[in-house]
Order: sequence, then structure tokens, then C-alpha cells
Amino acid sequence: MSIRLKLLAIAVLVITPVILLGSFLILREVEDNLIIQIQNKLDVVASLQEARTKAVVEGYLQEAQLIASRTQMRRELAAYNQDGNPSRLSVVNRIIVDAKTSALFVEVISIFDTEGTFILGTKDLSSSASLAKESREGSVVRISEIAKDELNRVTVEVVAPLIFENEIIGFAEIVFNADGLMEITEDYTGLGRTGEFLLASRTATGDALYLTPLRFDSGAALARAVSRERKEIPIISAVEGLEAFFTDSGTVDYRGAKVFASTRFIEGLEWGMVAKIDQEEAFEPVKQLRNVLILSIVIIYVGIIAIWFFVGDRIFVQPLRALTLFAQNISAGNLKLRIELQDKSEIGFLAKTMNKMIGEIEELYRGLEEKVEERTRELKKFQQAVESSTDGVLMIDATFDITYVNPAFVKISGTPQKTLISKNADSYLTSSETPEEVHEAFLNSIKEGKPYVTDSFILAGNNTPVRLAVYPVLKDETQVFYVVLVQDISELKAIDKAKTEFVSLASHQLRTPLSSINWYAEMLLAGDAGELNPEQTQFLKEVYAGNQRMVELVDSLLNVSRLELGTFVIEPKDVDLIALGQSVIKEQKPQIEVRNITLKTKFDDTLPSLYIDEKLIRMVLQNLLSNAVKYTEKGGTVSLSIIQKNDMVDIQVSDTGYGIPQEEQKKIFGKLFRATNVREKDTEGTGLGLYIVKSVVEKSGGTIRFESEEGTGTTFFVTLPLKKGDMTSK
Amino acid sequence: MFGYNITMKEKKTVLVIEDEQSLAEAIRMKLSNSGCEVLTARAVPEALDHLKNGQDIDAVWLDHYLIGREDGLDLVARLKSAESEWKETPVFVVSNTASADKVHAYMRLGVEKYYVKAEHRLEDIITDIKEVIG
Repeated sequence: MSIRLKLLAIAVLVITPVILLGSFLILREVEDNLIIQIQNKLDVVASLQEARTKAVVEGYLQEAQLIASRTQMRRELAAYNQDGNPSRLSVVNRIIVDAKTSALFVEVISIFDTEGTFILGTKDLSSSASLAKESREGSVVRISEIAKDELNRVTVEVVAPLIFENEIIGFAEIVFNADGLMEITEDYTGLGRTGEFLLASRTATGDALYLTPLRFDSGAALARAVSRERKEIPIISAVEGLEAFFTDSGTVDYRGAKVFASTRFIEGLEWGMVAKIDQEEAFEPVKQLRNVLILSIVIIYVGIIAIWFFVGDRIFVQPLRALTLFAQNISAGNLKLRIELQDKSEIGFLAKTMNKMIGEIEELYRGLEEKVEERTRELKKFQQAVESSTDGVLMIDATFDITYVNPAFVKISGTPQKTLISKNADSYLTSSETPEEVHEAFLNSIKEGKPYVTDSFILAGNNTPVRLAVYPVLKDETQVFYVVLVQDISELKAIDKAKTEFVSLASHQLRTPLSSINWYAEMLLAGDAGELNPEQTQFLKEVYAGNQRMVELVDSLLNVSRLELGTFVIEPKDVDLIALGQSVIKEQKPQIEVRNITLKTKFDDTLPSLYIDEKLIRMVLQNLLSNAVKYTEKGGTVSLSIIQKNDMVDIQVSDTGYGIPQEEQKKIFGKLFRATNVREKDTEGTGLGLYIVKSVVEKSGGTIRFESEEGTGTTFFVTLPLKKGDMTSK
Repeated sequence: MFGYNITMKEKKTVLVIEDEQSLAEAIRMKLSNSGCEVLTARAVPEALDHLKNGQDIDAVWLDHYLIGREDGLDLVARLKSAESEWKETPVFVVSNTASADKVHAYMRLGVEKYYVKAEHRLEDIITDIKEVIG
């Protein structure tokens, strides 16, 4: 919901109850006041009208009394009662006519005798009239009846006893018209359009009989009555004697309209009076007020909301809109913008803070941009280096798909870049000519996340022999990608092949004549060409021995040349070193026995098999042991121990022989070197043995050293690794 | 005629393929002295001729370097091929080259044994051969 709407909602929620409550209270107050006013007014009217009515009635009685107390009339009547003289009646007649004329509201004056018989009157009633007995009772003037005359007019009959010398001599009945009363009830002063003053008498049954015409029913006089059951009609309460003010909505008049009423009661007459006015008319001012009030309320309402809206808009919405727009522009990328907000409140503060924040972001951004540029420059260098390298570079992702190849790789493999990208690396790297064990080692290293280097890889595509190096790049122990470097070694391989071939050929060329000498000498010595004399045998043995030395020398030289040319191949397999040692000792047995040497051995039975090149290590042992035997005096001791020490096997060959002179110890591993002391002793030796032994041991991942003292003896210490995989395969 | 079946032990024939004449002579002499028939060849085609001639060859003494384009390895490849009738004939390679790849190659093809000439006495080699061929 927008702020505008929220503001509106707040305004409505706050103002509406207030206004509703306020207007409700005002209207109630006004109504109550009005009712009081009406009550007062009606009371006044009722009282006034009651007084007037009483006055009129009083008037009637007084008038009647006056008439009834005319002396001459009484004297004449009394006399008539005595003598019955009709001329007396004419006097009476003359008097009553005169009385009627001079009196107000009198319609008829009739004289009755004490028995109630009509004697004379202004209207001749002789036949039908007689005065009721009740009317003849009492000696006061009173109203006897209210009735309609022959002209259908309401009349009030008053009976006044005629008294002469303390004796009732007859009755006068004076019939008044009800004009006086009607004047009262037809006076609507202060009663608006609907109000009126009602006059009714209580009938014998308790009902109320209207005495005068009603404002809204002109024929009601003495014709319309209200049943006493109709308690809601105030005239009933009035004729029952209750003087009160009626305001509730159940109060109705004879026509069923809701009215306010004030009631009065005249005792004696049993007359009820009601001053009433329609509630509707009474409330007219209120209605008007209500309308005005409603209009004002609406105007105020709208006004307040409009002001609230306007103010709220200026204070909240506009600044927020400005800030929003500003923020949008910033996020679109324009960090140079700043907002100016003339506002001292929190919103202004927010704007200031935002400015500050943008400033900092801008700076940060700039700093980053610079860093990125720098890094990009650096990366470009690397990129260039990789792109222009003559070594093939390949990048593989964690799922082993090729993600990048440099031009050199394309050249070496002969596969176009398009073909390689996003293909599975294994299928596109490994040619079918790659040896299976190399391929497996390659895959294993990758699985284990270890680097792998091999010279035996054949690259798919051109089937180029390559030196392949795989380097997994790890992040938090998981492989993220691999970098593969390939070097075309076909030339190197060719050179290698040539070297190997050379050595092979050289050895063949050198050994062939030696073999010839060997076998012919052998055959001669075996007597295949006839019996030899001892001297001939002796000479031939020398020839044969000399040739053997030659063969040994050639072998050593060939090994050395292999070492030098780097075509030496180590072919490791699981070897029982102790068995090897024992076999080598067996070979030396003849020499040991001849020279009467004591042999000591110490073998560790728990030694596991070593992963070594059997031939080469045999050569090492042979060399060391034969040296030990060769360079020890007759009767000396030679010992061989092979034990396990941590991850290595410890080989010790020691003798109690001539030893190596201190100053020559440095050179002992050198090519063709023979120490001076042994040369003097005339023992045979090529001087190549230890050089070859050292090279082999070191190439096998081991170490060699010695301790020696001239004249005491020598001990050689050789260590070899027990574990697999410490060598790169070549 | 007598009711005995006299089985005479036939003389075993060894085919010696060696390019060095002096060596070939020594070998031939020694083999004959130990009671074997000897056939010699200096090159692969010659050797094959001998084989094809139908003579029963019980063993082959083979040097690596030979006269001609083909060397001992080529011959062994042929001898040990699936359709060859001399598949079962034991081959003894006696050469002065000791390069590991050559040795491996020969062993993989299924030769009986590989000797470095200069390291063995003629007599020892012949004893081995005789042991194998009976």
C-alpha cells in the first residue's frame, strides 16, 4: 500500500470516530434541549388554555347565576307558584328574553318548575322537555350536560336552582353555545401547524369524548371518542386525571401521529385537556440542524483529510518519492548523483546518509575498478604466456570436460580447438597407444586429486608421444579444475631411441669379439681341439681370465654410458630382498671359502617385499659384497645385514679389510677411481663399480654412504624405500 | 622282426641363426660334439628356407642382429604367429645386446630363454638347450 493511501487510511480512521461521536453528542444535546423547550412551551400553552377554559366555564356558571338571581323574576315566579297568574309568566318571559339578549353565549333560557316540568322559555320546549331528576338535585349552579342542539352545535346546559326566600321555586336551564370553548381550542397560538389544544370529557365508560371540533376532524365534537384502552393517546391520561408531559415515541394522537403532549384535568367537570404538537413538527428545527450539521461535518471531514493529505504529502510522500527516484538512479549505475533534500527531520538525515554512502560506494568502486584493471593486465600477461607457449596447455573442469586449449596443444595433438572444447578430456587425450598402466595411473591421480607426470603418454589425435603433467587445482579439498601440460617429446623419444640403439649396438659390437675369444678359449680348455699340456692350459686360462675382465669392463662401461646418456631404465617389481641377498652370497661362496672369510648375516624376517628393479639391486649387492670379499685379508670377516627401519630398508655390508684412505674417501664414488692402497695390492677392479652402485641406488630412491678406516675395514650403508610410487615412470 | 620295438633316439636338430661367422663355427662345433645336428643361417630369409625345407627342427639358436633388414625379433614374430607351424619350437635367443626393451620383446613373444653371449659359457647354454629338447 502506498504511503498516500496509508496517510488517507490513518486520517479516516482517526477523524471518523471523532466526528461521528462529536456529531452524535451535539445532536443529542440539541434534541434534549429541544424537547425541554417543547415541554416548556406545551406546558405554558396547556396551563394557559386550562385557565381560559376554567374561566369560560366559570363565566357560564356566573352568567347562569346572574340570570337565576334576577329578583323580579324570582318574585314573579314565586307569586305564580302561589296564584298561578299567567300574566306573571309574561313578566318572567320578558325578563329571560332580556337576559338572553344581554348575556354572552346564551342560546336558550328555560324555566322549569320544581318538578322539572317546563314552564316557559326562550324556546318552546313544552312537549319534549323536562328536567332530569339529577339536575334538580343540589342547590348550586352547575353544568348539567354538554350536547348538540337541533342545529348540531355543541351546547353547554347549565341548571341553576331558582331560590326565593330560601325556597327553591324552580329551575332555570341556560343553554350556552360552546363558542367560548371553541375559541380556546381553535387558538393554535404557539402550536405550529400540527399542534392543538384538546378538550374532552370522561364518559361513563371511561372513554374520552371530545367536546369541541378537532383541528384535523371538524366533526369530532361530541361525536368522536377515544377508547380508554388506548393508553398511548394522552387524552385518556388527561381524562383520568394525570397531568404530565409525554415525550416518548409511542405517544400518538387521535390520528395516529407521534406527538409531544402536556395534559391537564379539571376536577368536578371530569374534563381532560391536552396541549399537543406533532413530534415531527417539533423536531423540525432539529432536522434542519441535523442537515446543517451533516453538511458541516462532511465539509470538515473532507477539509481535514485534504489538509492532512496535503501536509502529509509535503512532509512524507514527496521527500520519500525523491529519495526513491534517487535510489533508482543510483542503482541504474550513476554513482555520481547526490540528493539535496531541504528537510530537517529524519528523512533529511536519511538523505544525507545516503549521499555519504553513495560517496563511499563510488570510491570503493573506483578502487575495485583499478584493482580489476591491474589484475586483468596481470592475467593478460599470463594469458599471453599460455597462448604463445610452445608447451600445450589444457584446462579441464571438475566434470572432466575440456574448457580451454592453447594453440600449442592444438598443434601437438593435431585436433582443432572446436572439436576439443567441452568434450570429455579422457577420450580426447588418451590415445589407444598409451600403455594401459600409464592410463590407469593417470586416471587414478585425477580421482585422488594428485599431480601426475609421465613421459610415456601418447596423445590422441596425432598419436604424438608427450610428457604429460596433470595438476589438479583444489579449493577446500575438492577438485575445481585441472591444468594439463603436454610437451611434444617425439624428438626426445627419437633421440632416446637412438641412444638406446647406440648403446645396444655398441655393446653388441664390443661383446662379439669378446664372445668369440671366450668360447674358443672355452673350447680349447675343454679339450674340443685336442689335449692340452699344462703350460698351454695355463696360458689359455690367462687368456680366458683376461677376456673375462674385458667383458666385465665392457659391461660396466655400457652401464656407465647408459647412465650418462640417461637411457637407464628401472623396472621395479616386488622383490624379496633377503632372498636376493642370499643368492648373491651364494655366488660369492667360492671366493669366500678360498679366502677363508667368515661370513656373518643378519636378515629381518618380517621385511616385506620391495618394489625395486631386481637386476639392478642384485648388481648393487653383488658389487658391494664382492668388494667386501675382494678387499679383505684372508681370514677376515664380511657381514651383510638387511633390516627394516621405519619406511626404509637398511642394508649394511661391512668388512674387516683394507679400508679406504681418508684423503681419498671423497673420490671413491667417482668414475674409474681406484684407491691407491688397493691398487698396490694388485687386486682387480674396474673402478666403475661404486659409481654405478651409487647411481642405481639414488635412481631407486635410496641413499648410500660409508664409514671406513684404513687397515680396519669398511662399512657401506644403503637405504632403499619400501613404498611404491616414489619414482616417476620413464 | 624280433618283436622288440627299438626306438632309436633321433639326433636332435638345432637351427643356429648367427651372423658372426667365427661364433657360428664355434657354436656349430660344440653342438655337434654334444650330439646335435646343426643347421646354420646368417639372415632371416635363409633361416626360413631351412625351416620350410621340412627338416624337423627341434630348437632355434637365435642372435638378435642379423644380416639383412630383418632382425631376430622379426623372425620370432613370424615363428610365434598364430598360423605358424613352428609355434611350439623352443627359441633360445643368444645375443650380446642386453637392452631391456629387447629382452622384454623377446620374452613377450614367447622365447624360451634369453642369454647375453659374453656372460655365458657355450657349454652352459648347450646344456640348457639339451635339457629342453631332450
